[in-house]
Amino acid sequence: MSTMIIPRPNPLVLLGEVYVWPARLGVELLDLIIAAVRRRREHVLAQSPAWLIAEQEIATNVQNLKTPIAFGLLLLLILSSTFFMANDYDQRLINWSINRIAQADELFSGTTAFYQTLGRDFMMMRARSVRPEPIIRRPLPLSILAKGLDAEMERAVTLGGPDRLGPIITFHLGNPQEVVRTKRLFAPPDFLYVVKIILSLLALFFTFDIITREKETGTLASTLANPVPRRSLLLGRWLGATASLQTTFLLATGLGLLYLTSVRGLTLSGIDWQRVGLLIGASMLYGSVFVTLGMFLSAWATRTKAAAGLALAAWLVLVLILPNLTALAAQRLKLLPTPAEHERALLRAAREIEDEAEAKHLSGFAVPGYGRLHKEVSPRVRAVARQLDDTYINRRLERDRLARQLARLSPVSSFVYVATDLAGTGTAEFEAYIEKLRRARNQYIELADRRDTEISLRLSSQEPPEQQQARLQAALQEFFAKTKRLQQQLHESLIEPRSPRQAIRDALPDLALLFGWNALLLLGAALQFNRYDVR
Amino acid sequence: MLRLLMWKEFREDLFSLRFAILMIVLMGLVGAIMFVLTIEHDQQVQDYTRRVELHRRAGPDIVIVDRPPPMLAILFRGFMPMAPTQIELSASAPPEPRQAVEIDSMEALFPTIDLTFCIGVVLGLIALLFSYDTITGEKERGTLRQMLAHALPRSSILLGKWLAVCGTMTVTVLIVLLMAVALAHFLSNSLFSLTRGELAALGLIALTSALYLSTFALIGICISALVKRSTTALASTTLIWVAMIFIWPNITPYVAARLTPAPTYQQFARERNRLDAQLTHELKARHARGAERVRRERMNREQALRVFEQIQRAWEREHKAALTQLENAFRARLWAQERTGMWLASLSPYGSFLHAVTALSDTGLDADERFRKQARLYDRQQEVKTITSAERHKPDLASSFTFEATPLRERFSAAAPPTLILILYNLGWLIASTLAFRRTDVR
Repeated sequence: MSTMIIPRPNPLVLLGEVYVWPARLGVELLDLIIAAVRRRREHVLAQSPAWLIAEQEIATNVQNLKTPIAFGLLLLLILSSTFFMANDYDQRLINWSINRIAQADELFSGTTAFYQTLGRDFMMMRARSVRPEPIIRRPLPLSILAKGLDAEMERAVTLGGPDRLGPIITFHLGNPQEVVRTKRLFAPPDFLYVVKIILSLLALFFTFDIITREKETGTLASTLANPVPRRSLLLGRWLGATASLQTTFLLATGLGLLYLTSVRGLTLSGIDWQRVGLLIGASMLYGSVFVTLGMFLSAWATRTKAAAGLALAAWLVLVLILPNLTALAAQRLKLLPTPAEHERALLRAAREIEDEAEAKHLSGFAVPGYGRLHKEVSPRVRAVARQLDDTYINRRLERDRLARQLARLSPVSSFVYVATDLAGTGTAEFEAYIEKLRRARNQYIELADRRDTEISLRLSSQEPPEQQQARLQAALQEFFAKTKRLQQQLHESLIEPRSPRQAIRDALPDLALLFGWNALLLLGAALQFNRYDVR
Repeated sequence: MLRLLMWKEFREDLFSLRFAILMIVLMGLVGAIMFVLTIEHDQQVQDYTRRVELHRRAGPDIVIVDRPPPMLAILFRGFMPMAPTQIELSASAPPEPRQAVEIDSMEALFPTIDLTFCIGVVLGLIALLFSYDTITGEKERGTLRQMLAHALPRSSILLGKWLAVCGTMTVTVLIVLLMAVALAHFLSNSLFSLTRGELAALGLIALTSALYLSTFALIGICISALVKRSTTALASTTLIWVAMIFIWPNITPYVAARLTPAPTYQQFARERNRLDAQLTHELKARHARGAERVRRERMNREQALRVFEQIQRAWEREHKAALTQLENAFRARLWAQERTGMWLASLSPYGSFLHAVTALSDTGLDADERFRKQARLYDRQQEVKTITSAERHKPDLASSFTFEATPLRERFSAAAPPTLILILYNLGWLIASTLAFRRTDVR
């Protein structure tokens, strides 16, 4: 009986099969995809030569090292920017949390002097103790990307007047929390800054020679000898340059964000991610403006050298000079009083009312630095001061709005406004912030007015002095408790930023403007290139 | 031969179209800048006089001293917009600087530009534009070979070109400065007049600017000798320019924060407030002990008052000394960080230019420190007076403080190290460009 020998399968081979099979499947799938892409590509290329030209442009940019250099530079800058700005944010967060903890510290808050009884005499103990630090606003995480006015809004706010302003109530912004002066001399190197300065310059490098280069090598004439319409050529080049720039930018930014979220542990909510997405979109739109501008200038110039000079000059004017000049123009067009002048006007208005009261022989007492103060007219003084204060603030806000309108002359300012608005550190947020301060000030004035009327009512009643004293004390205690609650409420509302949806809505007009710039420049380039002498 | 070459290049630069366009742009820019800066300066001068007037009537136990705006801040703002303009002195606390606080969102987003920007940024780029094609341009036109075919040493070609660009830039800087001074003189209401010392400082600023621009001219020439095509030269010089002006100086404060860390303001404030609370408790206890003593020894009113006055005075001195010590420690660490930042920034020509110009125009960190120091000194002198005479901080005492600007010699010595860095830069790039040009393929 012969036995059939069944070959035993080699386990190693089996194991190999298990692994090779999916790999084979993968390769086949890849083949399929490549074939589909190729077919698609041929289909597209048959429709318009622009795609071919775009491909060629992308390849040229890689070959002449423009894309690698741009990628290296952007990556280096974005990574170092996120590193340093995240450090800065951490530092500011520490600053804020210490302020938060310190609120619970036992201090001699508000007490600057107290008395000690000594027989019948009062003995005064003077302790001009340091005021406790008011609550400061929590820094926003998106300020890592666009710091904007975040540091301005971080200042400590107090309600009430400094001692020498008597009954006048306003809000006071403290010194900036950032005490290192060198940090405030140069603009913070955040993502916004890198995009504003570097991305625009790189965009111009990609396109300043896009037409003149071909003309100088003589390929432009031979390309156009084929049945290639000029607009396809232009569009193809534009697409190629845009793709080269935007992919490098997106890659570098993606790595920067990856660093922030993985290494630095930055956590963002869904709506914040939307903001970041829009911010990146706005940056791409901004970069695209300069890509188009470079192409426009290239279609304008006859030689590469001239195009390069033109592009550099345009960049200098648009990025560095125009935004600052429009700010200067707004300052000049709407001249404002300085803070000291404003303070003087407040005091003068108060003085007039007090002098009137003095003439009527109302009872008063002297306050150092302010003069004689009459309790009866204090509400009126506050009302007048409030009005003066409001006109002053309104004029400042109007100037800011005018500056924003004027700044729209340059796409750079539009971009800065869009980016800061999206990050919640822009002018719209700042206006809302001032509005909150104003509302709290009005509530404070109301409280102070009520206190004054109550005191005068109680003092006039026919009660024994001890009881009067006690009730007065109670009224004052209540007032202090209420004002304390008010300050607390104000600070809680300040910490709350505007809703992201609102921020996105604020940014829309300027985003539209960036679109408009793109369209306009593209149209200009097309018109210019149509009549371009290719010889 | 060198002179001939230089003159030829110099004349070519001066009468070129790009120089004419540059002049028009610069005039517009300087005009706009001065138009606004004179207003700002006038307002600051007016503010200063008003503040002095107001502060003479300040409270009985606070004295406020003020700093006038430096004269040259009208041209170079430097650190002045963020420096405190007044300092409050009190008996029991260290001097407290106050900054003019404005509700201003414009300044934070688009800072006001001044002549530092005009010379440092715009003219820096222009210097590059005049020099990036000095060698590649001649090579592309084919004239470089012809020149070298004559018995012309390469070094004199290089020197001639460099000196010509330097000359052009010096002329431009002088025109800009003259125009700015003239505009300041005519537009300002606050009698803008320069003393002889300030004129000397301005002259030195012009010299520093020329040195700074010469660095960029040399960078342009060196790159031009290294690369083959003008376009490549322009692209690479522009990137160097951006790195030196817009990247390195902006990063340095953050690098300095890593190298020499300092506590944040709130960390300091919390420590200070705790110390203050502790000391105030101590005062309360001392007063209680004093009251006990008064009761025990059956003092009359006069004696009791004297006892309490003594307690109060002694405590105030201790309190002030303790807080001052704490604050000095904090400020020393801040100052170390700021200095590190400034020196790191000075590693780029723009940083050292800024350093030298702010030192010369008395608008730098040193000027701010000087004001604080003078206020401290005044405070100490006042204390010596008040403790003996018991006439502590009478209102009219505030008027006796006058801020003394930095004397010229000190400004020069402060500006010397950054200027030296600029000179070293020039030397380094000169050697580099000589070496590069020696190996340049002229075909």
